[in-house]
Formats: sequence, C-alpha cells, structure tokens
Amino acid sequence: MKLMIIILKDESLLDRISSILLEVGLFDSSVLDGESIESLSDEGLPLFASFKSLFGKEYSYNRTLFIPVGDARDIKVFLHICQKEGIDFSNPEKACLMTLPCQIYDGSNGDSL
Amino acid sequence: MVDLLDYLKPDRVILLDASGYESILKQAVSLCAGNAKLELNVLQSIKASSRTNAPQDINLGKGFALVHARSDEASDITMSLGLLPKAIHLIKGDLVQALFCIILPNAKSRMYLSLLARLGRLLNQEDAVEVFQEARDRLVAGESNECAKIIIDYISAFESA
Repeated sequence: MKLMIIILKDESLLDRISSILLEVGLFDSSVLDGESIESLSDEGLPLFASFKSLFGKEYSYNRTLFIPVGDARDIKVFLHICQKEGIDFSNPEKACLMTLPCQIYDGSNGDSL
Repeated sequence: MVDLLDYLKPDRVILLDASGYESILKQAVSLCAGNAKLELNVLQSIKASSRTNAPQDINLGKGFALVHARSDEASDITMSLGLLPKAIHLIKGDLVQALFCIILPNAKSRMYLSLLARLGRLLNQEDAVEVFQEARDRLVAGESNECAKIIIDYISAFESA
C-alpha cells in the first residue's frame, strides 16, 4: 500500500489528472485547496514581499491530491498515461508527485474493479 | 485497468436508421441491452431521467454522444456503438455522428467511471473524429466488417500505446 501525493501548481491540470486517476482505477482520493509557503511568507513577513517582484511572478494557490494506491503498478500506469498526455511532473511550474509507503490503511474500497 | 475492447465488440457496432430521436435511442439501447426486458427497463429509465432534469444522454462534442443507464436487470456493463449515416442534431450541442450506449449494473459504478474516463481519452485523440467518420462511411457502403475492423484496430492501437 502506498500513498501518492500530487501537488498541482497548475490547477488547470486537475480535471485531466482526475480523469486519468479514475481511468487507472485509483479511487478514494481527496483534493485539498492549498497555498504555497512562498505566498504565506509574503503575507506575514515584509522581507519576503520583495521576493514576489524579484521573481517576477505571483506565488499562487495549488491543489493537493492524496491518493491511496493498493497496487504500486497502478502508479506506473498513471505516470505512463500522464506522460502520453503531456503532463510533465518534472516541470516545477506545473506539478510535483511523490509516493510514501502506507503501513496501515483501514477504509472501504467500495465496489472493486 | 479497463480495456475498451472488453466492452465494445464488433457485433455491437451498427448503422443507425436516422429516423428521429426516439427511434435512434431504441435502436441503440436494443443492441446494447440484448434482451427485451432490459431494453424496456433502460428506455423507461432514460425517459424518467429526462423528466427529472438529469438527462442520461450527453453530447460529448466533436460528433460523439453517449446515452447511459443503470439497471439492476443488467448483469455486467455492456456497450454498443451506433453510427449515423450523416451527422445530425440529436442531443443539444454539436452535430452527432456516433452514439455510444452503455448499460451498467448498480454494483459496477467504479468500473464504469474508469471505462468512461478511458473512452473520453480515446475520443479526445486528434484523429478520433476522422477514424470514426471513415468507419461510418464503410458501414454506409455496406462494408460492416471493414467498419468494425477500423474501430477495433483504432482501439487496439490506443490500448497498446
């Protein structure tokens, strides 16, 4: 069992990634609204406010997906389809993905594939 | 992961007689259902859904449309594809040339979501419209085997990519 986490900096990718997750059979995911640490720093610490102009772009909000994965092979299939669809996790402006081992999972899997 | 070829069989691809919405719907559902009881059940469900403002017919755009229904009478997910001799106004939105019909049992909702996502990605391929038009033209010319081959080959290539 693994937990896959995707931080979407480009929120426009959410629909396509959600669809690919369903296609692969990865259900029971949660999508959370997030805000980058750079953006939060900007609000509270004047020192960081200048960073926004320094980098010439706005730090923005993001979406974070938590996806329980029962079969690690599904992650490879998911990444393969994302690659074919031009979703590039190596582009830091778009998104990043990580997986963590999940030692305990206690929850319903609904009807199975 | 779902494989579209497990659901769309060559004998479930037909040329629809474009003689009005009700008739087209009945042809598509009849082929997909495979038996009169399920067909009646699904047609009633689709009609009821249109009254409750939750229509079960969807215009997917680019000439593709989908009609789907759940039924406890269904034992597994079944799919049919009806091709129209020419694109027509069938469901609000773009002209429709290909109508997918899918019937599913209530217990297969998740598998259906996976199937739908995969079908959606297939139909979003750049050449999908062109391929289905070519298949339709073959069907209109009476070459039903060739039509099915074009579609099955196209899906096979997609599945193995």
